[in-house]
Amino acid sequence: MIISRKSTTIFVGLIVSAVILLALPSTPFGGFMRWIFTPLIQATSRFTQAFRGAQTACTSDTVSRLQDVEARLRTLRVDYITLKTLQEENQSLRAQAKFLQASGYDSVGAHVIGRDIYADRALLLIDRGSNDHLELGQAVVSDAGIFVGKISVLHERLATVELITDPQSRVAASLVGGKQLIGVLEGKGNGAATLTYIPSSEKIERDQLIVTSGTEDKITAHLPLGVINVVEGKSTDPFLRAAIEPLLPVESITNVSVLRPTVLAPSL
Amino acid sequence: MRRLLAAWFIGVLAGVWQVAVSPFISLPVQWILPFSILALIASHRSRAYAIAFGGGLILDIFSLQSASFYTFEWLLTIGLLDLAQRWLLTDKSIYSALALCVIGQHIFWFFGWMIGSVSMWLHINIYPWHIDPFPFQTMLWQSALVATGFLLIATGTQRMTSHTEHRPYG
Repeated sequence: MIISRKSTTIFVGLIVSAVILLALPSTPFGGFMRWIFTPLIQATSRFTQAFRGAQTACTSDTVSRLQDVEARLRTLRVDYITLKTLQEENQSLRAQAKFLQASGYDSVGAHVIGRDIYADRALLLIDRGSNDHLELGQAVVSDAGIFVGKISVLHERLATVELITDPQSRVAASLVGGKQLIGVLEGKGNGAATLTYIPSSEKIERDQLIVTSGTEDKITAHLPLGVINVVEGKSTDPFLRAAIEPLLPVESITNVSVLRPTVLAPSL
Repeated sequence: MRRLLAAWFIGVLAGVWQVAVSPFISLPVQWILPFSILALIASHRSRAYAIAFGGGLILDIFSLQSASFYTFEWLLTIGLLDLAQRWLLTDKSIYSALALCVIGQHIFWFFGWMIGSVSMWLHINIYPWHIDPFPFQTMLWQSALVATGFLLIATGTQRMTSHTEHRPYG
């Protein structure tokens, strides 16, 4: 069977073009194609998520899970009320004293237009990039202010968010109300995360809230991370471990905010 | 040229589906391979390459990892399927189409594994390659789409009918 030279030439040309155009880092062609097709991806993604949200119905598994979550939330009611009071007071102070400018952070909203959630990874694709003054390692929070991940890959108009349950994710954590670092939140895949390197002298127990410690560059402190589920280890061990339950299921994340230093905000 | 561009745009739409729709629904449906196989069987092979190029381009541009090579993988897969269709499965039947679908999916997984392993070894990517979470369902959906498309083309056009003249005996 004779393979025509034209077919071979076209095939090889396409391969070489693909390798050259896409394998090179920061290729202008890739950026141009992202600019062309991002609106289509955004529209399709929003439609899919809206359609999916309308179809979601309570199943028996969801009902039992809700009951379990409600039971655990009751034990957090006091903390929530205290936090809520502090939050309202904080918001009032911020409005009066322009706290965001003083703290050095502002936020930029983004839509989730793609995701890659499997056992060995947990990534989101958002429609903001370096053109919006985003940087690698910046904190990404949900609408409710819950820390969901960090920016791990950056393009001009797009960015990849590495969720806290991603096996590559590492976040410094402390207890709510505490001031010192108590451990590192490591993603384990499959929607799970573990708090490691907890000093055995720390008194931690189930249902305690953990927050970001603020010791990392570009990540502000006191962003909610999750709830302690199970504490592992003996008092004689140098370090303890704790299974952490994220506060937000991945499926519910459709809109996020990226916290960026105000020095990078575009001047008006 | 217009048909080639149309095929490329079909590939782009298939890629858009895989980026913006497939991750949010629980249906393991992918369109790049079925469209490419139908183009190989019922149309010109250049359009199959165009579909693969368009779909792979979108997957690479909107990849969540720092580097991806879907365009390269899809073009290689369609290239091998083209060879298989011209050397082995020469009859343009629904069975050939389904066989190409199964072979093509396995070839694509193999290239994904190979290129993913090399890119991890070279520290280009940090995430290992993984097979689709529901590989059997993916194969089933791909085969159903190819079969449906083939039957629609066969009933809607005359491209799949035999033109052998039938003479009654005697």
